Amino acid sequence: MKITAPISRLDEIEMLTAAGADELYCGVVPKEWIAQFNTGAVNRRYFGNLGGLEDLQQAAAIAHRSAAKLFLVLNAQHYGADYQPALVELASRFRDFGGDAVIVADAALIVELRERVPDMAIHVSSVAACRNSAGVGFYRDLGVRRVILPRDVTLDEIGAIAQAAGDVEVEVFVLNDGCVFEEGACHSIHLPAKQGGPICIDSRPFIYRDAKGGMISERTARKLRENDADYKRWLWYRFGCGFSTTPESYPFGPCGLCAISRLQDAGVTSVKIAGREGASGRKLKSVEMVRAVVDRVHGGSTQKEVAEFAVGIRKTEEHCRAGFMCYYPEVRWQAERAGGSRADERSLSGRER
Amino acid sequence: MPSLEIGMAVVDPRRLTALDALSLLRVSDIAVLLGDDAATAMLPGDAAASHLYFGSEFCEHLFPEREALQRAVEVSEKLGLTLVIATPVANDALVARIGEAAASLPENAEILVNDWGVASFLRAAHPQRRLVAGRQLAKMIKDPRVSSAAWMKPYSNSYSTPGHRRLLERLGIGRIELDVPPFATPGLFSAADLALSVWAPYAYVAKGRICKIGSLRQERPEKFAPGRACHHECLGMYELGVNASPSGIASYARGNSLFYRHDEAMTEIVRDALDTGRVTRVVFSAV
Repeated sequence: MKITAPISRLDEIEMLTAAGADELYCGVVPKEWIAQFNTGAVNRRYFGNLGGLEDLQQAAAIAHRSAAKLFLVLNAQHYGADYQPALVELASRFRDFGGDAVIVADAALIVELRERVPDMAIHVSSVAACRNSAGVGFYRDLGVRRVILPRDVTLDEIGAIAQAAGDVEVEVFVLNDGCVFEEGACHSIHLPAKQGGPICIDSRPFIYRDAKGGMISERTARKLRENDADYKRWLWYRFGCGFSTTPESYPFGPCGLCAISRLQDAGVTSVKIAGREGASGRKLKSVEMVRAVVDRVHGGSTQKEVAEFAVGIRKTEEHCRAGFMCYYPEVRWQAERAGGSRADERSLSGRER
Repeated sequence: MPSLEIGMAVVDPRRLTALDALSLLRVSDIAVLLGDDAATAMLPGDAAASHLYFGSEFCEHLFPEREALQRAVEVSEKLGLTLVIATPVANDALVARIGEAAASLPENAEILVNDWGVASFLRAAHPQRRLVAGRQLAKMIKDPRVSSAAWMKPYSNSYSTPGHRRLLERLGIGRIELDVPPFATPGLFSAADLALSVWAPYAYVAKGRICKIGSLRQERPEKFAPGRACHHECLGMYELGVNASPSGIASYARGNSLFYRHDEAMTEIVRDALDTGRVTRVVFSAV
């Protein structure tokens, strides 16, 4: 099982590959793009991109020197016809640089790229919300190499999809950053904070109404308030526990470390660490965590041993028990279920491949 | 006005009962059934509806059970309406159920698809079934909070691109359905050779798989996760935004989705599109 990690700077490449990343993904906003379209919107992120095409070329060379692959995100939900020639050109340049694949969400762009840059591999972005085996088949017929499943799929669903995927590789989320809505079905904009920010955490109030627009009973309203409070707590986890870290700088936030054994058994090709815009240190600690767990899985540790170790990394069992931090809560940590054993608290310093 | 198809969308199977007393579904009836006179004001009240949409585009838990589907078939046949079964993004289990449903529907019934996988599966398994591409396959920015059209510009819609057209052709889809975004222009409805539908008076902004209200009756650690049982709380309530948008557009949350209601400018866009025949079907729904 490979580990796929985000980069936004050239100096992150050797750092992350040394820590155990096998594959890297990045975005770029070429200056030609800004000149042509008067916007930096190429890949859903205005920040967290490499500096330009020269950086992209160097990134491919450094990644390959480090025995890693480099993927380029062209992953907006949709692009208009005006943008497609520029996207084809960008993918062509990346191919010429030796890039290994482009990550694409817009099915219409996949069609264009297959026709115009046929020798460039395509990974279907999680933003495409491909959530079933028939969807993988649909993309296979379009000629893609890999499908990245969206967040909020169950391990059983992943297993069924991976089994049906055949020669199409399957990648799934394992760490960091969680959208509240399905990315491919969210048509909002991450506005500046003063205008509300992301719509999923916009704090403008809503009030409950019954189906006919009438008032909700006080008894129901009380339950709804309690549920709202739980939801707010879940949102806090979803957004990285306030983007906090342990004293050792291991990041909190959506996490699937306990599920890596199951993902390996399911035939998943790669686990994805999210967060292109994150700080380099956060990316490094994320790769270290995932690498340490994957190495235990590859080394033959049992699912229970792996889960114990994974929970012990951050030394915050209460977060793992809460269930709200889990990408795959069906393997939510319960010490009592695991036989009451204490989590492994071994240090992660140094590679353990 | 050119020939116009008129649809009404029903998500809750219990709402089908309200159609029992009718022998013909008119626009005035739709207004009554939705409890929303303003929603249909752009059309004459005596215009007859042509389509009954049944099911949810947004939630896998709301796909109709077999009995409800049969009931919808009976109601649509009695009222002389073409039945359109709405389907959401689906997991493998739901794809199988959708396939079973497709086999049991009348010949002229349509299936509204919002998932390329569902569309692909249905085209292979039921090649004669008419498919309609839903709003989740016609992606565009439609954030009701934005203060100017400039916010929409960086990511224009892709449903009129050649690649999208080829995908639809490949799947035998000849109709796409659209929402009206803020600051829309008539160019919204420029998709030559495709039949267009528009939904009114609500547009969806975002949908997730995690559902706040659907977790109401679950124990805390089990809340807000996929694959959990659902008691369909969303059918009994929704959330209304309080001053939710600086632009004055009213926002709503229902189940796992966010919506907004068309403002006057959007309503005018719909009216114009219907008058000029650029849009040949309008689908009225509650939030």
